[in-house]
Amino acid sequence: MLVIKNLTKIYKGTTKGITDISLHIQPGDIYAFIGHNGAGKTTLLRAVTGIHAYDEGSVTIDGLDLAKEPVAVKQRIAYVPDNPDIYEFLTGIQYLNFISDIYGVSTADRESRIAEYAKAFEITDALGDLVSGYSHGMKQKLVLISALIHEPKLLIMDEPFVGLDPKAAFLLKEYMRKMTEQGCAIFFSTHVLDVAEKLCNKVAIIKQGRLIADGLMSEVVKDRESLESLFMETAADNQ
Amino acid sequence: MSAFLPFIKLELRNLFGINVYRHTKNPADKKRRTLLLGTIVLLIVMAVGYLTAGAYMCAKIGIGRFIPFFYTIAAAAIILFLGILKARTCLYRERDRELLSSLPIRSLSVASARLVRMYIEGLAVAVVVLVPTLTVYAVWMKPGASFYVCAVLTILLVPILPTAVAAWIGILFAAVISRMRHKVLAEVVLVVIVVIGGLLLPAVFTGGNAFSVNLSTLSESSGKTKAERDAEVMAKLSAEAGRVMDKMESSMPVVKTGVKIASKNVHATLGIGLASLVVLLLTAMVIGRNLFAISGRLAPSSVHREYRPSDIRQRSVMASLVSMEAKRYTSIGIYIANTIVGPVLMVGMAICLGFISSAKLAEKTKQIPIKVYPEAAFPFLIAMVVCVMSITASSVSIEGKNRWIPWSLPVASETIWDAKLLFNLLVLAPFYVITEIILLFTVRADAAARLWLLLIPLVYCTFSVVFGLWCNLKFPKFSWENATEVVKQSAAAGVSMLGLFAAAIPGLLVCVAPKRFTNLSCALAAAVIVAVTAMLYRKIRRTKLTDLN
Repeated sequence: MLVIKNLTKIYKGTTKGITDISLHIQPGDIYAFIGHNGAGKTTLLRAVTGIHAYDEGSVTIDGLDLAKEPVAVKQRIAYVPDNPDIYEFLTGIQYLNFISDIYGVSTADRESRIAEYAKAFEITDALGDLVSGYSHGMKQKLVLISALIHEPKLLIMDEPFVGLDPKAAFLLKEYMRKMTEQGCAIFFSTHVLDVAEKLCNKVAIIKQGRLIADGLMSEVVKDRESLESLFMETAADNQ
Repeated sequence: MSAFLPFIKLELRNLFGINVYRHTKNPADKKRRTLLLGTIVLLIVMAVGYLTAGAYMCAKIGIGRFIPFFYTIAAAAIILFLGILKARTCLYRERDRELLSSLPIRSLSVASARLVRMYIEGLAVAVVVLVPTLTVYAVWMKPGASFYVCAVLTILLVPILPTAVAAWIGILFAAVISRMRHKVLAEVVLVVIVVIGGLLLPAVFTGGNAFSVNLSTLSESSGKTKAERDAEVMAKLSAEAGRVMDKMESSMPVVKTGVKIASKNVHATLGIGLASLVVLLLTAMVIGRNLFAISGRLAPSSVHREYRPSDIRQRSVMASLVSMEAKRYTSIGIYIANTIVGPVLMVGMAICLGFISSAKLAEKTKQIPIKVYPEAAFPFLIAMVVCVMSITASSVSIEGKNRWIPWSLPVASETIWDAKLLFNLLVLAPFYVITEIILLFTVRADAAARLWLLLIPLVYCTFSVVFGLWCNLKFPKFSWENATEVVKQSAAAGVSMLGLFAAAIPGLLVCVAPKRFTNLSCALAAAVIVAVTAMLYRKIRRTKLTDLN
């Protein structure tokens, strides 16, 4: 589904970024991406979604090269950013309509999906309100609905659980499982290591812009007590 | 007032973007900001040049004693005008209640710090206007020591009263807007009234004392040498200037008193300054009393009406993108106000031109020593006003924190640029049509002139839209807190405005070309603008979204 080969992206005028990252995410994978603040998680996710250009390497999604066919690639993915900065001048329903138009979701499909997701995330009543009046959690729910509405083959999320109430967080995990059962792949960054360990079958750990571990969760964690223990070991190496 | 100092530090750090310029580590951002700074410095140097020349001219034609008073009034008027435009957004910020009301501070400290910021911005204007002009006065008129004390006091004190008056108007605007359901519309209407009023007011004030010198007898065919003609021009200007000034002094006591005070009366200058300071302090107290209440009402609120799924329908990608541009545009008052004045003035210009008879125009232009054909400039005059500020010049930067949305959507970069161009053209379209209808019924012209009246504004409208977007793609600014930073103070906005002024040059050339070449020169001017527009459009389509990160 998603093949990242030797990807390098260094921000101009700095030494920060990501270096020589390779990953392979297959349909049905729920891939956790963990690392310290500033390690390069958001940079990688944004490079993979076509938001940032990259210096070297390649990103292939569903067999299509992101650099050569960005529109076709983006049509297959959905991205949930770390901050739900969405158009505050639109109402919730206008935003969902806009996203549906862009992805070409039919009127019938969008009607049923909006009704289903909005009801599940309990924001149906607020869909007619301006996004500027939404709380952080409501904006996050709206972004999640907009990511699910066009049934992407690959869902990329940056800290998706931040700001969600417990019920919404539970629902999101359920949707993630359901989507992967249907062949979708999910790649997301998180600091909630318990969730990552329980939910994901694979994990990648990034440190100072380089991958230091990746693969099946059981193989990466090995005989350690938990993913948290492994992460704390990498933190100790830092000092 | 213990919080005053931290807040004034905060305001001053934010002033002119200096703090961000100092600390930004992004070389592209640094380069953009350096260019903006360079443009501002260039504009200041040009302004100082014009002001010095103007003051020198006043001294040369014998009205030098009026320089301190008139330029002080001019500085105050500019500070007042600019102050009114930004007072509302500078004093009352929509997130104040959320960000500040939980802090252990008095709102008076915040209000005072913001007024000081407005004062310092006014002081910058006063320095630019008064230092060169008062220097000319000092060199030419050789005043006594009291003038120098007066000059320093004037520069320091003149921004106070206009700042206070602008703040009161800001309070009024905020109070009105905060009570309106359609806040954006209310703000646009108020700002457009201020801008058009600001443009018309000088004409109202000078109307009774029009300065008119007939120089038509001074053309090269008059048989006089250049030196003789120059001497005669100066004599005529001196006589006319003296007549106007005497009339103003005798009919307006405030002018007479003002001239005396501005040039040497230290006590009166100080007294006016102190009285202004009292007014400013009172203003701070009034703002402080209602700061959080009004700011809270200005902030968008969540109503949670019960949503009924009725407005779900599928549209094309382009229609959806244009509709989104429209919704964003209509949600930002300062964006509309800044870009709608040009099209409104285009219609106004058509009305004016429609009612000026050719005979009257010919009479007026007799005063110009070279032969000009003002009718040839009609299409360009109409075209130029609409070019003052295009929507596209801010349409990329205005994406701000939301830019991850278009960047991550499955839409080609050129489709997004086309949507922005199309939306701007759609906004201009009704103004263009109204302008052309007015011209059709009011201006008498032959078929060729009619064609140019139709084509030239169309060509310039398209150019302004494409050039604006090109500027914004060259100088994007995504990191901003207030839309004013993008719409009014960004490098793209400044460069696009300068470039559009340069586009006026073909109009001037057409105006001075011999009459038999009017059609040819109009065609050439249009062809040049079309060619430049096409070239810029190709460059725009080659720009990728990822090039802008």
